[in-house]
Amino acid sequence: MTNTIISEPTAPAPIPRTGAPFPRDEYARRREAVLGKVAEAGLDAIAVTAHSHQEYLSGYDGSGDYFGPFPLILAPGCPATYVVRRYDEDAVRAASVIDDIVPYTHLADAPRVWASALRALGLDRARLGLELDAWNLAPADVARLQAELPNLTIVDVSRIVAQVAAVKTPLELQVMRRAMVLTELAVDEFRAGIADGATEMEVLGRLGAAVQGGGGAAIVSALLFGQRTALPHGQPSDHRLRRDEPAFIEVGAEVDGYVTGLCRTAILGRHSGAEQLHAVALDALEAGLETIRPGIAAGDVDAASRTVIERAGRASAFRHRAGYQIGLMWNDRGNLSLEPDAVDTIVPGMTLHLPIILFERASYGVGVSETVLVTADGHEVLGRGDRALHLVP
Amino acid sequence: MTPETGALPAFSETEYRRRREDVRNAAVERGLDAIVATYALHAEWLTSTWGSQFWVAPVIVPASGEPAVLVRRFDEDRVRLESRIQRVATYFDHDDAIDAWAELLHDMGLGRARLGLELDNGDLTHRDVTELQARLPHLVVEDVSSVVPHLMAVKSDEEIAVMRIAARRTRLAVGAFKSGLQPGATEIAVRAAMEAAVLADGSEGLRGGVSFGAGTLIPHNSEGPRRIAAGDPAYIECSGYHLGYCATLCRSAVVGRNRAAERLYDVARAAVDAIEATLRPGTTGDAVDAAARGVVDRAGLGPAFRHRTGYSVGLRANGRLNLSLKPGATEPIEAGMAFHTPIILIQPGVGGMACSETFLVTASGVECLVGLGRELIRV
Repeated sequence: MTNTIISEPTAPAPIPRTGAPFPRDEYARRREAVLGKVAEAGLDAIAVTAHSHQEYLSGYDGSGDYFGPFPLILAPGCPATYVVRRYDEDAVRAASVIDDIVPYTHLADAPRVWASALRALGLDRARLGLELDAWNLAPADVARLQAELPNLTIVDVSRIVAQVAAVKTPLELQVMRRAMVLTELAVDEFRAGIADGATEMEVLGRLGAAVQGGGGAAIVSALLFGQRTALPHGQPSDHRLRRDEPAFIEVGAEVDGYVTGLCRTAILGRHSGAEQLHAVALDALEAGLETIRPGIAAGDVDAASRTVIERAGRASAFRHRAGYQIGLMWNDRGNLSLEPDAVDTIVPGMTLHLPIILFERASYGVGVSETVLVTADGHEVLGRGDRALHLVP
Repeated sequence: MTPETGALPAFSETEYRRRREDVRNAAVERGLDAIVATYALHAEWLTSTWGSQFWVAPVIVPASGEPAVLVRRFDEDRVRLESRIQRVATYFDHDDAIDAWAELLHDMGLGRARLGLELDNGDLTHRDVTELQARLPHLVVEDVSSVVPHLMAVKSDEEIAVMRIAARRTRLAVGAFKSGLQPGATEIAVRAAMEAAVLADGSEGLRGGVSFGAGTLIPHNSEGPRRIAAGDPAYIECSGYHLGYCATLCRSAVVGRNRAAERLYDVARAAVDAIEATLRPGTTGDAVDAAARGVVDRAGLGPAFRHRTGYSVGLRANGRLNLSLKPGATEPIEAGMAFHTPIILIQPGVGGMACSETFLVTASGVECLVGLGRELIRV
């Protein structure tokens, strides 16, 4: 009788067109940086649940977790461990650099599976950082985990990952520069589409196609003509542009999950009110830009822009902060914010979006912005910086 | 002069009044002074618009008195134009959002209220709740996460009429899928053709996606430049929209022959047939799930079926805590509910195949809203 050698089934080849956008060591460096801050905070581990933070640390964008949280558990000396829904497990394996994946099938199983993953890592009595002030983790999720592991000490670490992600690596900057090329392409299409009778949707169609053709995806925060420019975060409709009306766009292009943003305003013919308001917005943006260098506080940028607007007597037109961290996802709750009295220090490598959008209530709105990189001695505007009001005769 | 808002031409005022009254009655039944909806989908259902992207945007429905919404000041003018709830309060940024929320509750006479919050949803954070309680220490907080999903599950006549239009667009998308399955076609190109078909009928967009070949192995796949080839399985999970409402459908195709994939589809289809035979008023989500799961298990494909059998569909198709057809779901099924029942079977080495219906529960059984045959699409 001969022995038949049955070979182990070989692992299937990777599924085509999948994989994280960056090399594994890039993600490993990011996780190490996060664990450095976790140690500084006197904690044993962190479980990351916010979408943009999961993507930053793993390559998977977290989108399957509408069902319940997907905690990514990081602790010194432990393999990074992802707790995900069984249905999405293969997608997480395909998109991420994480090998240790613990699945749950039904939502009701999630807290128990999360707790057993922590127990298996020896973290059931740990001081565990959770993102208690970020999206995608419900108060009840926290209560259930605590009920499963009564000896766990839970500490809020909502800002740790955002702080690490605020400072970009060279690979991330490469991607963001590509995103800016496409964002400017979108602005070019917007400007080229300014014509009597053009609709907002038509301009959306042409800029969307142009960005897609360049290998990105357009994200339109606002695209508005005429009186509709008075709508904050207004979305494009079939409304037509007419002579002597303003047009406003806040647009970004996404490449590998990274976004750069631009606000631009155009006028078909003349509109003295919008032209004057745009001049104030431009001055405010430039005052904010001038302050940006390492060592200043985030609130200083806001103060510089806000002062210009107040001195012009238009304080009531300015209803938001002067900017925020941009990169992976356009924005996420808990990101660095350039808002009044914000004390966070600006450091080299940060990328910031500085929109100044001003409204004449119910009549019109204008806006201008730049996405900038903080450099060793100041800042660099990503892109051409052609922020002047675009006048179409 | 009021700017043309571009908001979806929403439902009648009667419909929004009914929704508010349903939430108000739920508060009264539970002995609560108010229910606060913080999940963006629930806020949209109650107001017809959305508040703020980055911080909490609560919709407060008191047991007595007028409801109110709290939004970021930047969004105020749009919300005032689009919201069916007229009282709008604002905050500037994250830092003062909870102060403004506490002040609004105080102004509404709810500073010491028994307050229902959606604690089991990630659009409200643990910190939001603890900070609110720190400002209003006499507040009594109860979890009401399942209240709005249950109210949303039962569709009104107006909503059913809207879902029929979405279903018509879903049929157009499936038609474009069938005709786009030419040798060498990419997932991206076929999705674009499906999207163009629904946009031409006035849809706000196309929900869902297209998977070919190895892409069918990836749950929640995003379309890529994968090309379809002989022997490949392919499936879609798609819906047209109308006023934000969906009627979703999964269908599968095989190019040439692929016996293993065909068998997978036969089982998925038989599971949908079993759902159709079981789903009716008075049964439970658990019973419907068991019927579908039994078919798959008896075929020896248990491990290929990795999810619940279905979920309540309507506005935006899905959301955490929407009513589920899943093991242990004991809530009785009622007439007027609508469920999408994707049976997606994924078998390593073979691929994924999917079949589903959007079922409207009628007085005596179900109606298939999309109304297309369940046969495998052969190319």
